[in-house]
Amino acid sequence: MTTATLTRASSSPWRLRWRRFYRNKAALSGLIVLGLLIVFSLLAAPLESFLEIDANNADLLSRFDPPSAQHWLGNDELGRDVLVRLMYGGQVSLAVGFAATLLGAMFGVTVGLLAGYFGGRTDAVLMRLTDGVIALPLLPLLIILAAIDLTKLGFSTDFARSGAASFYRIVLIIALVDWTRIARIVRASTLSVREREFILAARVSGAGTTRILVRNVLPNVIAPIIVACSQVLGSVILFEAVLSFLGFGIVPPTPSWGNMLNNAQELVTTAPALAIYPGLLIFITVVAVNFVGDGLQDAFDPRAN
Amino acid sequence: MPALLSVDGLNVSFPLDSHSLLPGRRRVVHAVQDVRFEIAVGETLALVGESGCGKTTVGRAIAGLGKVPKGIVRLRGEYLSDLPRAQRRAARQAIQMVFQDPFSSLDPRMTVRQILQEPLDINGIGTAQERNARVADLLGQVGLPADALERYPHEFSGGQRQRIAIARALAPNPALIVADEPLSALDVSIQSQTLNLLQKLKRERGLSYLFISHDLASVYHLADRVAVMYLGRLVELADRDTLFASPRHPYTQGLLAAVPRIGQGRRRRTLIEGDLPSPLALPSGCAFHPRCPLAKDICRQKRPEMKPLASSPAQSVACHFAEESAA
Amino acid sequence: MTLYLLRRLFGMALVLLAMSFVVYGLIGLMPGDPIDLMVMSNPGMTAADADRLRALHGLDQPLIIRYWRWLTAALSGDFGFSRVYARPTLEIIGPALWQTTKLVSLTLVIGSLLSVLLGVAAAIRPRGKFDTIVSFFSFAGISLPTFWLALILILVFAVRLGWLPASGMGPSDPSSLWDSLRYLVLPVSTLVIANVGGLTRFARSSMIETLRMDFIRTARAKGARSARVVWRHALPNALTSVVTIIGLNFGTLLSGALVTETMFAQRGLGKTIYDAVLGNDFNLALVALLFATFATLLGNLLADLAYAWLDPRVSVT
Repeated sequence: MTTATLTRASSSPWRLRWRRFYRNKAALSGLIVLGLLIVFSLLAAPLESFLEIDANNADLLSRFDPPSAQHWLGNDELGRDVLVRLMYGGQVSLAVGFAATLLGAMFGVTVGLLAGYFGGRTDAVLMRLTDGVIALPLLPLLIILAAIDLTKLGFSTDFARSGAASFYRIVLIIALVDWTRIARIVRASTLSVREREFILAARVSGAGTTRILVRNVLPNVIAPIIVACSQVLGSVILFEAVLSFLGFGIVPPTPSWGNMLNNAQELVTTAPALAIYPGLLIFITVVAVNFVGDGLQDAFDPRAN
Repeated sequence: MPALLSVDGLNVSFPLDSHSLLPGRRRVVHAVQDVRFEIAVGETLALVGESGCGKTTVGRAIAGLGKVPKGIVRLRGEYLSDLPRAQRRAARQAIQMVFQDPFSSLDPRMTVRQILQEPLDINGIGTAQERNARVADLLGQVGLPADALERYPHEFSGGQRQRIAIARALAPNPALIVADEPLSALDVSIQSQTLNLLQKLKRERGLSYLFISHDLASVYHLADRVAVMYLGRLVELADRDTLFASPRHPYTQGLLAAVPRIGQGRRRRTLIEGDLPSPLALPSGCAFHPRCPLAKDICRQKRPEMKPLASSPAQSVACHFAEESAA
Repeated sequence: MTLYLLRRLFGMALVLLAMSFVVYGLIGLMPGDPIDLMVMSNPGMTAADADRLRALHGLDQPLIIRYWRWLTAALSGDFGFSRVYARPTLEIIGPALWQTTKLVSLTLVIGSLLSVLLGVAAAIRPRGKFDTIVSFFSFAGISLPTFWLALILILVFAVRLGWLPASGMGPSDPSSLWDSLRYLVLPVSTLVIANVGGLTRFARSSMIETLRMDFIRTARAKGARSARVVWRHALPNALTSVVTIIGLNFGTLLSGALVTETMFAQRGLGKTIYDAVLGNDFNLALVALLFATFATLLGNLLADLAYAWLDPRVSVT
């Protein structure tokens, strides 16, 4: 996300921000770790074929096999390769994280732009909605939302039971609640951009509201949006993990770091390592993401700290 | 001279407590009341007054910013509020605006080319090639080098930025430019250059200006006629020379007395005392009476209307004692 | 003040109303429609029989009418039945509420004390050694998946060391206080660790801000010893902001309670919702969710009131 915007940075603010970010050791290592985790996840298929195994193939004869030359981290309770499943699980968990953040950001940015730009009653209504959602006990609500039977919405049974459906569903329901923080931040920035005279200038030039919001306001609130997204991403990954763990997220056999812990309570006594790996990866990912978020915050708004 | 713009009974009010979700019971501030003036083709009308008097609001209302104001705004004889949306938009192109702060009025995320081209794109003026040529031409007219086009606003000085803002205002080929304190954010050395640029453009293109300012020296330099505003209302309107030579409203007299002028020696200094009252609680009668050295009982009770003077009809004054108060 | 309270209570009622309507409507989209189940389990039943049954239970009515019936009954104290337990929902929710209250209030007390102590101690010398350590652990706390934390605690303290029970709520007639409390040690620890990181960060930054304020400088200039300045003058200010943030994060706390209760098999409000959804017992889930939401909103309100009470500059109107 950052590098794409940095390449078009002939304008110095972006270069300045990058330099500030670069000097922040925690943030930079967070970014590197995140990059490594992405690479780790993407290597799943190559490693699978290199080791000549099939990580989705249950083999009850080799349950809980210890680490070996072929199965570097051993096998799980169904005899599947733990390492490769961790890598595939990483793809899913990270993809859900980014997708739900992005979808939530679209919603949050829209709400924030409208509330901040129009002010008055529009603002009051939208912000009460935002505050209302922030206050809710989200996890119980999400669990109930996740129980919706997709077939009753007119989807086919095959689709409703598929891994893809569980992916879309979890992305959507997390996005339903993760937009609030982004909306608040975008609203605050929009409020200050709205007062700048170039917005008035655009209106004198005949620009309509939509054009002003998209062409003039949005580009000027990109920086806070990026910061907000980076701060939301961590909690989104945690949401995916807990929902999948509780059985309301990604459904097996598709692995995610959350649902690999489904049976962890029993595993704690028999094979504790299996309960530790996925959680540790979630933990490391979220720490890295939070470091990046903090670093971005400092780099974009050095006065805040 | 035919009137390019004529404004009659212009009122602008702002709601307070706009965040309340409850209906009714909304208070408003009357920022501009019953303002009336005309601007001829090629003429510059200066609008002067203290900050907070509503002159910026008048300028913005005329440029089509804010809610549709109450009152009649006619452009080349056509009622702007009567026009259907699309036509009103087209008519609005004839009125452009230059803002006070060139550090805020240029979008920092756009290049100069994008800034200048925006009004052309929005209004669908010309082909792509013509727009390119037009943008380059505009840059030349305001005296900036052609290589400025691909740069961002933060790479320019305040004076250069104001030139870019002027070029943007010129882009849709307007007849009238509302210039809202265009000099006050600039260094003094840059102010006169910018003033000269405005003058040159006026001469070359037959532009009219509504020049909003509190700097009487630049008003004297640029304006043909001058309107003086106090607490949302016009109090005096006259030719520049008449107004500067014989102001009739005590407020105008006070404003002028505050400016030292060459060749006049030290004038009687009747500086205006006291603070501007809050627009939320306007004084009764003549709004100026609490600060007026001449205030009588009638001033507290009855609001004076803007009337042409019997002795010089080109000069209108809103004062009960206008006929007697020649300075 | 009365007006303020009335307005807040009205707002709460509105949120609960909106939420109950939306969730009630969504139940129709959930699996396990009782008539469908009957049709499936009884091959002799025809479609006409099913329709008759629906009409009998008023299930053929439009959503808004069914909701209105549910709402009027609920307002008169009848929250309907739990399908799985075949008992009124309130009978199930009552004990669950008590269980969750124990868990959450212990967490609140321990968590806020711990976070204020840590935050203040860290703020005395920002970027010092202690601050760095505290910041590191706060960061870790924020980034931990709660359920995994519970798992690790179970692994270490229940499975390996055997000090504490891994799950359950203890005997129904505990022989001593410890006998019932020891079942709460791991759940409360989990919830405290999961929340104390964020709170500490908050306490720290608000303390740093307070220490920068003029009245603190004045106190120091007057010669007050710095420990005294911190604990007498700055601490109350930091506490105020922590109390507020706890109240505002009450929803997060209840989300955490759902996870801990599920992990440690304690039938609190969260686990009741979880079990209800798994068992297609959606009326119970809805009512429990409404109670959880009500508790959250009440937490918000109390936080605002406490804030006004602790900070004389704020007046609620």
